[in-house]
Amino acid sequence: MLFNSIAFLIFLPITFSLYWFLLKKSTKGQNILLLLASYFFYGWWDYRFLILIALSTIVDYFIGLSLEKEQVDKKRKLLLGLSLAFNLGLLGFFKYYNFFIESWIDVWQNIGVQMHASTLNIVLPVGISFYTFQTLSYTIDVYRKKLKPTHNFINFATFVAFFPQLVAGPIERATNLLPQFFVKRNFNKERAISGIHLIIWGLFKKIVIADGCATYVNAIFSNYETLNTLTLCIGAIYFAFQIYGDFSGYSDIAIGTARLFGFELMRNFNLPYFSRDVAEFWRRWHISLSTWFRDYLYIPLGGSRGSKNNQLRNVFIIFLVSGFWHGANWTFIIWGALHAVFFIPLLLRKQNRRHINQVSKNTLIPSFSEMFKMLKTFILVTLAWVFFRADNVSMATDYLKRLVLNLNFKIEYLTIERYNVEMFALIGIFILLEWFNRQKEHPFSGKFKWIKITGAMLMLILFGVYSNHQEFIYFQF
Amino acid sequence: MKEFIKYIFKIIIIAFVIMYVFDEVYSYTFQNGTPRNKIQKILQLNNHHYDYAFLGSSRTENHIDCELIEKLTGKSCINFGISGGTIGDMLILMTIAESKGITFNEVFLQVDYSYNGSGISNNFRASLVPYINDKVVKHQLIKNGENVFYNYIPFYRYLKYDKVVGFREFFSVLFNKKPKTDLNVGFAPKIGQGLAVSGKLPDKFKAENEELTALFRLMEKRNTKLTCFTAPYCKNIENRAVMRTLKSRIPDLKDYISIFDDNPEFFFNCGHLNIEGARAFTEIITEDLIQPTKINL
Repeated sequence: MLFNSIAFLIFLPITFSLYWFLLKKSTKGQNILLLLASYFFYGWWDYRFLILIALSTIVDYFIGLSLEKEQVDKKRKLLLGLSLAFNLGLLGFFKYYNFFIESWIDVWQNIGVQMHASTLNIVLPVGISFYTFQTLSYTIDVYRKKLKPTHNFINFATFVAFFPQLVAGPIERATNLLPQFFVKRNFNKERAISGIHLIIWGLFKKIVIADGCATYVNAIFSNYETLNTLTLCIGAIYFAFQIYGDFSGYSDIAIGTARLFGFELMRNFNLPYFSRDVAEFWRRWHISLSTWFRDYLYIPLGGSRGSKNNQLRNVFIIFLVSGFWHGANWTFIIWGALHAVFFIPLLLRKQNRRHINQVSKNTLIPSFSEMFKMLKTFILVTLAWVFFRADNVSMATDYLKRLVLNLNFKIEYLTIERYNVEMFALIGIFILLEWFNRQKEHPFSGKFKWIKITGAMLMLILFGVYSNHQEFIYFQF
Repeated sequence: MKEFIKYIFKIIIIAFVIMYVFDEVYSYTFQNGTPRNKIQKILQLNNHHYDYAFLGSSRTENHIDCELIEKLTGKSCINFGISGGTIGDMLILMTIAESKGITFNEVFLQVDYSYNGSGISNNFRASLVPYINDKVVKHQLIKNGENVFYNYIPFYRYLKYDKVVGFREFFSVLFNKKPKTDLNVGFAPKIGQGLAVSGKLPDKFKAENEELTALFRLMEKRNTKLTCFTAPYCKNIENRAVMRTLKSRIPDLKDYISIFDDNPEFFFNCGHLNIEGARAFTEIITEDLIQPTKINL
């Protein structure tokens, strides 16, 4: 079920009403309702894959309990290995099987050995990368004794399948989300209203910005061979805003929806395009994933301790794995590698933690130097996005080659019967809204709150894309 | 909770008011603005007479130069071909024409792979929704499976079909932006040569196209002759033999599929002629189907 669908518009108020009116007094009842609603939400897309969520839940629930009982280190490691093998095995089979087989065949064919491909027609279950990472974090935290395993199966199952963040995150840690299922939730008007504001803001980002850009991005990337430098630059910029609007919009709707039920999820995006370097970008982009990799991969590898060589190795590993997490394609691996290349000079000069605070915290407009740094970071990030968006590596390199060598800056009319620059007005409004509200979660507060809400509704209704709406990009991961 | 529900209602009311106001504004503009497509054109015509009308998809819209026909014959002509248009679309167009008192001496319908289709095309459906209050349009939409319940939710139809009747089209109508096609003749030629020189006809044709049968019936009722024709394809089109089946389904079909086999320079792609090809084809079809009996040079 999509957040921007009629089905969700019906599903949400029904679940909300049952939750707060019928089951108000029973935390257990509310949790059971959330579990059923979450399975219904996921099953709406494809009920067959509910079995995978259920299996992942059962395996990690019992491994968690066994880890609590087991004191022998070797056996504990074995249990952890079992959880890793199961979850990563699921992920590996559904997401990477074909990629590995095809890459293996390519290697042999390059040296003249013919092999027959026996790839399967595997459908990627929506959200598998998100919920497997969430259950993994639970087992790892229990193994590390940072978290006591839960004995309440319903609460654990609801934690794994919690519908607001089930299919595209934020990837919650058990230490943050799981305890919330054990406490009684009282309806809090302010929290619920802030949830509604986040939902409206998320819908604006998704339906107006992301889907608006998608129309142009699709037209530009599918005809890039015939387009000039200006259009290709615009295509890359539009994609940068498409993916940001799409994913951060989803996260906002997820966080807002969770608040309606009395839950607090972690912030997943914090104005990443106002970052002054790539290190800051990664502290602000897909925060739940980057902190996951930091805690469960980067730090265990040694993090920024040890020799320079070890540090460089760790940076490369974390960025490559992060790229690979996004999908079974070399384009994602190169995207990750590019970010590692952008990050390494900062690490070597010990400048990777230079920009911790919000940019221009006490001023209305950024200084020239800040503006330059933000622009430079945006350009680097956008260049890398070309690999993320392209169908394959040769398409991405061709795209960039043409972008650099064509040197024609004429405004072009696209196959979608629009000029390439037409979306800039909306993007400009969006950037201004984000900039002037950068200390807040969303723009709907203060004196003119109702005017802002009306403005957002107006833009949603008039400029939103409805007939050609795009699935959330991160569903495929 | 009470206050929260009040808050939600406020937001819903704001959304409803915006949608209601813009529904009225959009509908008024589409109904009264300068037409930008053939449906708007026909809905704004009343008691008009054309000597010849051509119906079909882009293979009519791009191929039949009505201005040339008017010049050759001295008779009025309109090209109602619509890119992606189906026989079902054309049936509705003619039903609307009947309701508006628009008459024709003779109507020509392009038929090819379109014979296998049924129902109406999405763009056509979308172009109809601003006129849902028109009795004939509403009836036709219901007949074609459209849930007109959305007529009672203000602006929903403009959201559902925003690609065709969204704010871009609304502003174009509002500011009298000229359409790409001259709607007085309806001809929209393709410029250029041979972008793709292959194509494929279907393997077989279905036994009957009910919409075509209904169109014949409608034309008969109105004493208007309906002639079906197949426009040219490039030489490399596959499955040409299947045309024999189509001819058995429509015995009077005029088949021009192979007339430009030796003229690849006339093709924009395998299914579409360029402007030179279109003019050559128009001359042929004029001489063949119109001139013998009606030309008045």
